[in-house]
Amino acid sequence: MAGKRNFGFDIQGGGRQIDLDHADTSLASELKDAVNAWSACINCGSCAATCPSGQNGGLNFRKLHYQIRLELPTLQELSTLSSCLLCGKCQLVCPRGIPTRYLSIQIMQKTKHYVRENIPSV
Amino acid sequence: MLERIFHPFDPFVLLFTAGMSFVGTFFLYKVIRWIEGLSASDKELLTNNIFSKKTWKALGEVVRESLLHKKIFGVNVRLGYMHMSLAFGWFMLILIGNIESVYYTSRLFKPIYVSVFWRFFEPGPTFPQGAYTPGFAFWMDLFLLFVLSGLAFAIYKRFHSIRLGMKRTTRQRPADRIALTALWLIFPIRLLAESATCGANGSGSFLTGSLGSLFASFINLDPLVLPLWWTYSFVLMAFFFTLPFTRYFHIPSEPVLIFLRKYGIRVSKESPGYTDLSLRACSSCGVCIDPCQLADALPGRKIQSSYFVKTIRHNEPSDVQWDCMQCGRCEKACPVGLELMPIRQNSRADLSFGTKSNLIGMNGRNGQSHRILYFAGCMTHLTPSIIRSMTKIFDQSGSSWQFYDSDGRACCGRPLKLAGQTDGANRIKEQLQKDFLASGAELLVTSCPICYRIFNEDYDLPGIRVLHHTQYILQLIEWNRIQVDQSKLNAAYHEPCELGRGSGVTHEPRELLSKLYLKDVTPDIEGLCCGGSLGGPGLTLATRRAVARGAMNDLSAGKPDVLITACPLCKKSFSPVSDIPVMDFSESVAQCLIEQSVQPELRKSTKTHRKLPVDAG
Amino acid sequence: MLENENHRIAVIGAGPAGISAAVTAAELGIDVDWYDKADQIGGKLNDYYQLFPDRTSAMNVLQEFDNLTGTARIHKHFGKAINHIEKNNGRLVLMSDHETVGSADSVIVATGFDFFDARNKEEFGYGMYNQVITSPELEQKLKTNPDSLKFDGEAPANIAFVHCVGSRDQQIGINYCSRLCCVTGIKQAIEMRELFPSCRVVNFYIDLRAFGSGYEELYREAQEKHQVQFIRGRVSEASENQQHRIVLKAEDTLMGRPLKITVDWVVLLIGMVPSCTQVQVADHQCTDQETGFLKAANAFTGHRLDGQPGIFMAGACGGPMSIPEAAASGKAAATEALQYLINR
Repeated sequence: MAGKRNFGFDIQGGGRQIDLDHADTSLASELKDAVNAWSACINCGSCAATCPSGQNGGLNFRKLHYQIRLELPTLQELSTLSSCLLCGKCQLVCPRGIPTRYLSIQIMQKTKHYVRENIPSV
Repeated sequence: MLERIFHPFDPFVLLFTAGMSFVGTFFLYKVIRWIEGLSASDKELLTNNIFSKKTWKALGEVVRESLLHKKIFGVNVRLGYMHMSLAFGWFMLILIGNIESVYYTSRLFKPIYVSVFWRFFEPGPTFPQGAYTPGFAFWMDLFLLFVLSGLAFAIYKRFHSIRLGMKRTTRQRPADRIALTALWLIFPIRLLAESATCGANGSGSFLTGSLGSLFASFINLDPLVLPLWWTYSFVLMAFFFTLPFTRYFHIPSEPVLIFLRKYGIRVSKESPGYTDLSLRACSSCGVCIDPCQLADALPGRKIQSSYFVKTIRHNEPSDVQWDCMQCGRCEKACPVGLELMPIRQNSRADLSFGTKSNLIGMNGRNGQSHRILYFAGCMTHLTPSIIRSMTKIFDQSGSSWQFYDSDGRACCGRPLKLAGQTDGANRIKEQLQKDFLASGAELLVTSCPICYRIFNEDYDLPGIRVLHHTQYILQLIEWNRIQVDQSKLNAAYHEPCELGRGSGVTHEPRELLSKLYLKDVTPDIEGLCCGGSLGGPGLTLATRRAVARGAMNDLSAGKPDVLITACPLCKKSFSPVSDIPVMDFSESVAQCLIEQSVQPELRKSTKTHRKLPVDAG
Repeated sequence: MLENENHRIAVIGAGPAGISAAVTAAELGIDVDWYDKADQIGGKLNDYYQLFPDRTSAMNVLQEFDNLTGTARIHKHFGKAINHIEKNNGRLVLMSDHETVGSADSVIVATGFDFFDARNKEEFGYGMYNQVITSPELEQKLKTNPDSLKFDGEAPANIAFVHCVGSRDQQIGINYCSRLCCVTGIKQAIEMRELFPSCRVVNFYIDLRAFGSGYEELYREAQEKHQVQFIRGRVSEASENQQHRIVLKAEDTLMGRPLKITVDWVVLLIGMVPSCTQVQVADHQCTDQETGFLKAANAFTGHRLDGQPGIFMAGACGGPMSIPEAAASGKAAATEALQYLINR
């Protein structure tokens, strides 16, 4: 039988579903242009493992990058980068040789205004 | 005839005068702007010192460096001669020319063009009551020859710079090329103009006179004289009009810099005028290019300071600046003594992402009070054998010590500072300072030169002495708190940028090395960068490895059996590219330690631990 | 088949590939001069405990191999390491330390591999912490002295396996995957769980590569039957706590949270690297520029060594491979060598 049935809830998305059809990858494109090797990330998690701020809580480096690659993160997620000490340990352990510290700096540069305008406490 | 001397004029002088007036006005304007752009405290330094002995000292330095280019002679003798002959030679021509004209006109103040074109206005002995003497003519000719010889070197250098000790030389911008052409034409044309005049009048000394007679022998020089002087005036004007917009503005700027620097002014964000002055004082001599290790690893990429200074001057900040490793080799080599590292750092955008620097976990690490606080540094956790070695050394020495960042969660803050995030760095500093002071320690020992530098330079730790572990270990040995066996091997020392050039700790590591190893075969070159620097975040892994390989090559000149480092980052940079073992000082000492029983009350308390497996490995 | 019955083939290496090559060549009727730097056959097979995927005893396999090698056509010259092959008048001359040791009409190089030196990943503390060992070292212990894994006669409580050590790592310049370490880790994890039923075993991996026949089934068995815990996250460093136990830092990437674990043993699953005693052929560069392993002229059609008529390669000297793969490779190389001799 044809026709749509209303099951009483919205199954179109919203909430937790990642909608790759409508993902905003503008920041990702800019970062890919700046750092070619960024696309080679295999999500091994060495960076997040060695990160001092990661162990302290607040910043999950790998997850943030993965999020950016999928779609533009929320302000809250972006602002976790403010915990980044720029120490560079992540760059030393990355098996793909990605300049992760430089990526942090690039993300900060490109999103500085966006974050500061909206989260003044940062 | 004296009439001509007392009222000298010809329309051609207007060209020169216009150029000179333009340059003079522009320069005055810039000086005012520079002084306006000083912070209040720097202005005070200026006013307090301008009438002191320092002004004489600065004058001395101006003569030594701006005229005689003493520092460039240290790079290469021919290069030094080239720069000196142009600068000093031209200066002497102007000086003697002015003395000559003052002597004969008995007037101190006259139109500026008079002494410049003196030979035109006073051509020679055909005017018996004139103001021509062979004496002055000789000295003028001598210095003109001096300048011309330097000019020959300069032209040669453009094609064979290696013969003047420079593997690479700065590539020029269009405006620079115009000014350069004008500059190069000035003295040959002067020679021709003066020779023509001397030839037509039978005057001149060994250079202008001989040349003049030679020309006069086969052509009639009279119609050529005025056109040549017109040309001379023209090229002078061309040079002066382009000078303020090219590297040649360094000619008037450098002396100003020398004076202000002598008064104690330094590059800072609060005095943009001084930074601008510094940038203008760069002559683009290019001596900074060869020391830069990236010149080999990334050829063609204009990272070096002489290019960097230009991009800032012309307001074209580019991403290339993120490649600079901030090792300081260019700063060390700069003949003008520009503070290149602070200038670069200040020019890095203020990111101020507002590092909250999540400091949970850094708080309250105290507990009992110990005399020594050990701060390994975040990188050191990736070279755990350094930590292990330091633990052994501390325990063996019987010191009372505490390991501050044993969980690897702390950071000194300097990486943030190097990336332009001074706010974040300061926040960390405040937290750590508090912790350090509350710990009751007298000594803060760190294994990382980056941490050492910021603890020393920026942290305010009254009552606490900061030491890098090489300094501490050397002291332990000297006080006989630990004993080491000397190894039969030869070792070379790689000096970390942050420890040597950055913090001035150069002797202790070498002393320690000679105690540990039979022979110190460290090559006698300016300390190299390992490539791992935090100052150059834009570099790829491949470039860093290339830099490390290049440095390893240079360090192996004395055929060492082992390479000794004093920085975990340097160790991590050299290990993958080295055929010989790479060790930190602490590891080397721990290996050679002569173990002895230590008095129990001084030993760090050990908690109960699981016994290690019997047959392990 | 062969016109000249005096043809000889030299096989360099007596590991699984070399054994297979020598035996096949002999069965096909050619005389074989067989070299190995060790005094007995087997190569690394001598050091293994049980082989994946079905945990056959390595010694049994070695015995089976040994039984095949008794034929008269095989002439053993063990205890000699061939490091150079020269060409001379259509024959191949074998040299050991500049000394001529023999000659042959065709050579099969089966020199195998080396294990990655885990000291080059110093953040794991191998060589410094006694409780950090490599997978081959664990094999040795399991084979000869499993009690050495105990602490004061007590079973260990926590063991961690770290995958991808010395492989897939730009920091040390080894970018390829060593293929077999994952299944080795799975196998050893099962063995540890069997040996110490009260011990927690955790495997830290990035990608689990269980591609071979029976490998995926072994993985499931590890999870279901033996309760091995698999955590997706690469260990970044090891440190020692006050009690001299090892603390590992990793990220649980599936949870997106940093993680730490204190363990009694850390087993590093190290990768395979080109042998340091690899054979040089004349002045020719026959190795892959990137990996350093020997390179075939055309990997799709045969085992002839790049640019070297008459010289064939077999086994792990050409890249990481398992024992059955090496044995099959040895057989193929022997067949190709025969074809070469016939068609010459």
